[in-house]
Amino acid sequence: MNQLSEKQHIRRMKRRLFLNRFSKSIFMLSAFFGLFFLAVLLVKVVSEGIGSVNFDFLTGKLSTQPERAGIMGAILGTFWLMLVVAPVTMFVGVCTAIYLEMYAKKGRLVSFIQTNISNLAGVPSIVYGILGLTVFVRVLDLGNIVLAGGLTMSLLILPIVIVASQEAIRSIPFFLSEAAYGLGATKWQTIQRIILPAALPGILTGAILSLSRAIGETAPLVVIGIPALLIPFPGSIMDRFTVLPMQIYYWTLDASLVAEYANLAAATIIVLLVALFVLNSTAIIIRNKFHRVF
Amino acid sequence: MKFNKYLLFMTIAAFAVVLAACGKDGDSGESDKNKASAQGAELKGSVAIDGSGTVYPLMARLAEEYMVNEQENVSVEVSRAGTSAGFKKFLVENGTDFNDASRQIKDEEAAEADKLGIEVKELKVALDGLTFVINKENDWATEMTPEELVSIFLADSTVEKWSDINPDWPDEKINAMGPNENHGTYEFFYESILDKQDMDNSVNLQQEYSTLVNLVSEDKNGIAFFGFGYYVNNQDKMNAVAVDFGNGPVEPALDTISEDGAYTDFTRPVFTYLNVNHAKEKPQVKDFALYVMNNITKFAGETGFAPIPESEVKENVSYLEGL
Amino acid sequence: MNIRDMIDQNQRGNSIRRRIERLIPIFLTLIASLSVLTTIGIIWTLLFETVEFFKRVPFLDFFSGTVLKPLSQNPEFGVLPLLMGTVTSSLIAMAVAAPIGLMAAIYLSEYASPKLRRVVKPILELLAGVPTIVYGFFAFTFVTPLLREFIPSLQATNILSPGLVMGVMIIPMIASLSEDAMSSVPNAMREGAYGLGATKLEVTRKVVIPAALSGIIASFVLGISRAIGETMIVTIASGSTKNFTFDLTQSMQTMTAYIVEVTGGDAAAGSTVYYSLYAVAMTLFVLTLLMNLIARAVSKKFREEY
Repeated sequence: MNQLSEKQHIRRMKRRLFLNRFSKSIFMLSAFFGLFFLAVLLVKVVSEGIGSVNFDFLTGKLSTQPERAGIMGAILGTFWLMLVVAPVTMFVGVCTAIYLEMYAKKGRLVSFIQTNISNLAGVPSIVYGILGLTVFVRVLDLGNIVLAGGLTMSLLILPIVIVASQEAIRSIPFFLSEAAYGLGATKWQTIQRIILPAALPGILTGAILSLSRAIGETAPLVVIGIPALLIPFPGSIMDRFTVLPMQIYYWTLDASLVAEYANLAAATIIVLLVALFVLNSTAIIIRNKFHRVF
Repeated sequence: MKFNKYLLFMTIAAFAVVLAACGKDGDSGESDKNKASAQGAELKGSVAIDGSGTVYPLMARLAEEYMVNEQENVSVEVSRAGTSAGFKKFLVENGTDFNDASRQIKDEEAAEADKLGIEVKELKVALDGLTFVINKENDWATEMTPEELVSIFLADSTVEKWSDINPDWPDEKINAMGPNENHGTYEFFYESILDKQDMDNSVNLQQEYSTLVNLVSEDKNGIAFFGFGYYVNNQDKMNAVAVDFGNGPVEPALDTISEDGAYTDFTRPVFTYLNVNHAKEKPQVKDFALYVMNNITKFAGETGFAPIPESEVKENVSYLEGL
Repeated sequence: MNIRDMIDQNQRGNSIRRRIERLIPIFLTLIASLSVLTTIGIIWTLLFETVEFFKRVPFLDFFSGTVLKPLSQNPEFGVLPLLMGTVTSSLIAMAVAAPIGLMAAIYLSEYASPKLRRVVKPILELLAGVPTIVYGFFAFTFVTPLLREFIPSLQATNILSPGLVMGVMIIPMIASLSEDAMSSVPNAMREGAYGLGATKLEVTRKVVIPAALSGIIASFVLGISRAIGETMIVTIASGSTKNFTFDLTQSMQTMTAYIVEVTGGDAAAGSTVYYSLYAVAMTLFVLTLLMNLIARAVSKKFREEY
């Protein structure tokens, strides 16, 4: 290595340090870029939509006339959809997680199921829509009702619920179940009285987070087919329905026909985002409140 | 009491399932107003309408008025997959009750209905003028002959730029667009105006009318065709081409697209097709059909359609009442 | 109640309980097999109709055709325009998400204090939690008009705007996965480089990134997979023109948007259009599955290294 003169050396060091500082600020900007984008999006949506958010809009029926259109039907539709999705995914998700964590022999089968679940999580949501359209709407001949939409959505978020439940069960320390066995409890008793109650906060958090994904999901429902205009409120899981994201979709598309629809779409987005925010906050509160360190 | 929490959760879940499984019927329980229908009875159930996007604004309007003013407990749902796509939903077991159409039913569609034993009744609802629209900045192509318009869309024509039609016009590529083959408007254009000659591959075909409105309003060299209603509602964003059928340029307007108006060559009737079996089985379907016929004249103009002659309306009404 | 009865009762209870104990694993196995059934269901629904489609349209014609006119009187089924739209939009998205996501990951992993990381990371996750339909609205009503200010030739529906917005949506995914990979690089390696007088940037560039490379690549591949499967943003903001072009200012249709268009028209079972829907969905499914498998293989390699 040739001897560097001191001058050169200092200059080079300066450059290296400058690059270091400069790139740090670039990295920082990148980290905050997403935040900036989100802020612009929210400002844009709120400024467009907040004027339309009022009591009549929230409780009114759908209409082609922007001044009297309301989204109660879509809110109720979302609610009914969740009434299908929540129990189904909770039940199937938790059962699958218990099986994988407590009963299944670790081996080929488990790793096959595990691989399968993580692959399912990567399948585009629209493919689930086609599955739902083919199996629930056509073959089972349910039509585009809440039940068909709910089952489709359930399949879509099931992988997320299973993985979250598995993590929650895995985090329960070994000695708890050992103690239960020591007292003569059977395996199922241990699961029922020790493991599930202890894992419940984690399971619930995961379930709520995946529900919020289902609430915002549009593509599968577009494929299943939701009417562009559906005025009556859904009253059961056998009714046809529309949901908040579908309303945003139709109003965004038609905004070039009726300018006020853009405001209605933005107003619906505000409602949807508030709902998601409340849900996710609930999940975080549950996580923090019931989080036990064993 | 960890166990109790678990039990509580399971109870809630079970309760949710039960609640969901035996939800009450449709209405949110706010209707105690007894409204008289055409038959004076309180009706329930649903009416499913799909089909033409051109007719959609009119039918959606009628459906809404019907539910607000006539039968609160009937659920009329309106979609707009396009005429041809709509017929596919209409001509199946337990299909839709009405199919809006911006063209007449085709022979093969009628044959399919026969095969399935579905009796279909054609109800003419209004008249629509096929409107060619251009960008607000387009100040040259405001008047054209039918031949010039056709040459823009034809596959084997030499017209690519505006200057190919008229040397004084700009030397820029024409961006032609229209609704895709799901739509009756496309088929009307293809069959009646292009005379079944191939359409140029470069024509930008879209599923959504709103996309077409958007594209034309943003594109100086754009030209699109669709039903008059979509132009009426967006006059601030685009201009209509006045068509010269030989007696001077005619603007599409409510009075020119009527039965014997000057725009008649580009005017077509639009329909809704009724599944007669359903109308016989379900009182709400028949009732809504009657409502449509009795109120069609009132709402046609509002949504950019010219009314059909009173005699035809009467004919349909008496047919429906006889069901 | 005497002792005898109590013992009897207990035994009776026990036998029921034993039976339940035996039945529960069987029941759970059945429920757990649902996820496998879902996969079988997806493949089964797609496969049958896809095979039927290829009976009508030769395999090679489908994958080499540049014209897609599914509904016309003499239909043509070339999937290339859709592949073009899908690949283009995904590449635009990655051009945004890969650099910004990676740099954000570097900042979070190497520069930010733990306290700051705890604040910034959840906020980034928020971006991933926004429903895609909201991004679609934003792309269509805000980003496209904004871009038109700079690119006058931009169409009202184009592939550029949804691509960019999709990129922003994918940033958190890449940032958090890459950050995990970088955080798991052992500190000893960093210390060694510092000891030789390297600056933080040099350590990041020459030590951390090479060491975490497979994890970073896996995150990119997953990001691409996510972009390929994205539906609503492109459906709303890119229109349904089946262009086979390299021009980003034009409207293009992705595979996902095609599926939306065809099902929206609810093509009747039996028509070639109907079968084409499944063939396109199958192509989409296989593509994303491949991406996910590649990502898993790459990150597995990474986990073995440390």
